[in-house]
Amino acid sequence: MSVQQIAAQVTASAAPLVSVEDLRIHFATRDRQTVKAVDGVSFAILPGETFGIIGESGSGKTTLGRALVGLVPPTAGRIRYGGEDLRSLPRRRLRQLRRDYQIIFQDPHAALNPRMTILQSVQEPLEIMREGTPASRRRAALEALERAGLGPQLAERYPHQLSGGQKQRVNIARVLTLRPKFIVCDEVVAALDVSIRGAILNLFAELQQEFGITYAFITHDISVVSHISDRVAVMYLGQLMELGPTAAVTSRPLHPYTAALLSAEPQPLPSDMRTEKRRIQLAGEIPSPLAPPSGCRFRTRCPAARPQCAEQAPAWRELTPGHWVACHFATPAGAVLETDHAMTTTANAEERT
Amino acid sequence: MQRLELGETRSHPPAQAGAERAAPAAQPLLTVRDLSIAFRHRDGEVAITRDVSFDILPGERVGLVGESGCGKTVTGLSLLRLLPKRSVRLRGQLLFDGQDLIRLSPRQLRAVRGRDISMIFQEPMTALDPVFTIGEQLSETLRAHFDISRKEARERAVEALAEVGIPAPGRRYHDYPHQFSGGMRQRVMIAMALICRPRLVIADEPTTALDVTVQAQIIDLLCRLSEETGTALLFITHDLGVVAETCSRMLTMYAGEVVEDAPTDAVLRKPKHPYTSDLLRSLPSLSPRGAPLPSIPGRVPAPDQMPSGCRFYDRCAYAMAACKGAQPMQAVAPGRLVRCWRAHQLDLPGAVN
Repeated sequence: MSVQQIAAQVTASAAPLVSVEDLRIHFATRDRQTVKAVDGVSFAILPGETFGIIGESGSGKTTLGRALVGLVPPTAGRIRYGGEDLRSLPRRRLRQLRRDYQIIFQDPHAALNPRMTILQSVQEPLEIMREGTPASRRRAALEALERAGLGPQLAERYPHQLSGGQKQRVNIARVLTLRPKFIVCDEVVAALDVSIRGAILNLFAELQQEFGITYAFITHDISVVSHISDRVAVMYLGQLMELGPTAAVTSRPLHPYTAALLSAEPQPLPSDMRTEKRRIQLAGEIPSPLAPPSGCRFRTRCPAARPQCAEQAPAWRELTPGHWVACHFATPAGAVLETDHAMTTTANAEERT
Repeated sequence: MQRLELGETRSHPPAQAGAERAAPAAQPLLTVRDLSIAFRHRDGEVAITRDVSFDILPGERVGLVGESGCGKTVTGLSLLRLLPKRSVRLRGQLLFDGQDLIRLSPRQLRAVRGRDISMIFQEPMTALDPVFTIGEQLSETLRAHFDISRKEARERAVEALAEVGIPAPGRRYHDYPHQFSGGMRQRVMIAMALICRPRLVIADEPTTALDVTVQAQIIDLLCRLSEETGTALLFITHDLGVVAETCSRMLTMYAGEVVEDAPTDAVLRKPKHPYTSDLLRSLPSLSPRGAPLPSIPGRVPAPDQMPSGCRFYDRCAYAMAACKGAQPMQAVAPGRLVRCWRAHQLDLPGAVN
């Protein structure tokens, strides 16, 4: 994707907070193969928005999230923060800039040091930044805990004495102390029970309103991502399949993969209210990123795959304003879900796996 | 589908698909009566579940839902007596086909496990033995229960693999668990659970570790096989969407008790217990986008601090003084039981409003 296209994508609105340009992240395996975890991804995140990234395991969404906060260096392409490329910065400036870009992980327990009290954990980022005095750091930490919905009585406890929801609140408080502009939330509610998920998602929304934080919200859960995101990017095998405003992507998906994801989500509704069109059954599972399919990466599972899909990678194109897709056959009316000889592809789905 | 013809060694004829289920007021296949599970420790006992009672009819699919720690997994494990005998005390009755599983000798239990009742676990990788091929593990199950030759067992194992949609089953028979993907491993687990044509399968979060598109495949497979073979299914899950799509009845557990037992469609439309209602309302897919999500305040009481009355009292928006009294299960409609004395007075929101 060219710079002009990125500019078009953010259509005349504010300058992007984070812009990702043809990002590639490759890992070498022990037997000298290459895992292309992220393979040519371009998008821009606008200030104040919640940018959802959805994908199945192995889609590269976590690697992308880590790259967004500089935890994984890009193999090629670049990520710019407010126009600056982190890799071209001197060390001191990098340190300064980096505090604005934070990440919260999936497992709230693993993210906390079991031998540190909650207060120590929450203060630690400030200590690392050498900000303020011990007293002011303590005060800031208690304030952040309070803001995350945890009283001071929990400050002297250890992680194992807290519930999962409380621990995730600690992790939120911990990044809040640095007053970041941007937070990558990597499956932050996946480990939590449904009954407390709502409270944590609400907290994220409140903090966004209060501090104007921008989020990249990475999840496999369509119901979560569609609830909180302004825009959604759909990832598959290291590439973006679709990107657009949440309402458009969820109500009128342009890519067959997005349509399949949406229809696979089990609906908690009585049988007579569930949509009958139910389930575009996808054959098989996500192929190995060591040997991704030629052409379109999704073609091996796509109900609408045609010979062209194996030969040619689909272009990343903007079908309707702000709504991008990588599929040869998508039209503004929606995703193409059948081939001309649809029976052979869907009926033989089981055998093809 | 091939039916096992092992009449000689089989103590019960295979359930006729559909026939038994269709019969009105069929005898329950499994009756759980006042099952209380307690874990012993140095200073005494911790009660994990209290007076759990429910029935499963032949061929019926029942969902057991609840959040982590509510006792749904231990209840499932107790049905196969898989809990460690030294540290666990079971009280109550587990009547399977008239015999009380709690009173069976280890030898009698071995005859039931895998034969009449089998289990599918959440993590197929830890449930399968890594040092044996899946073919060996499948035929072992058969040969443990039936007096058949290796060759015959092998043939049936290959058939079973084909039945669950594993491509090239004859070749995959010789593969080890690590050579399968997550979804394929779960298919192997299902093949293993069903190979002796049991009358009850306990599936403990069988799709939680899988991606949503693969989950859709596995759910459909389980439903199809249960219908074809007349096998009853106890589906343990935290995902209300999965229950809605697979089960005709739903048991809701909270803090070690069943609080609601009702037909799935009825409970989704009009839950009668405030906890079930709150659980449904906290699903993001049922809230308007961007609106604050309902969540349940507080947390589950610790097992050693369970109130004698309603266990949901502290978190319930409808609690009254009388809720502190004992709450027996009471019938509110035909086939509907609720552990809430206010059930008749309350009009609670469900998944449909």
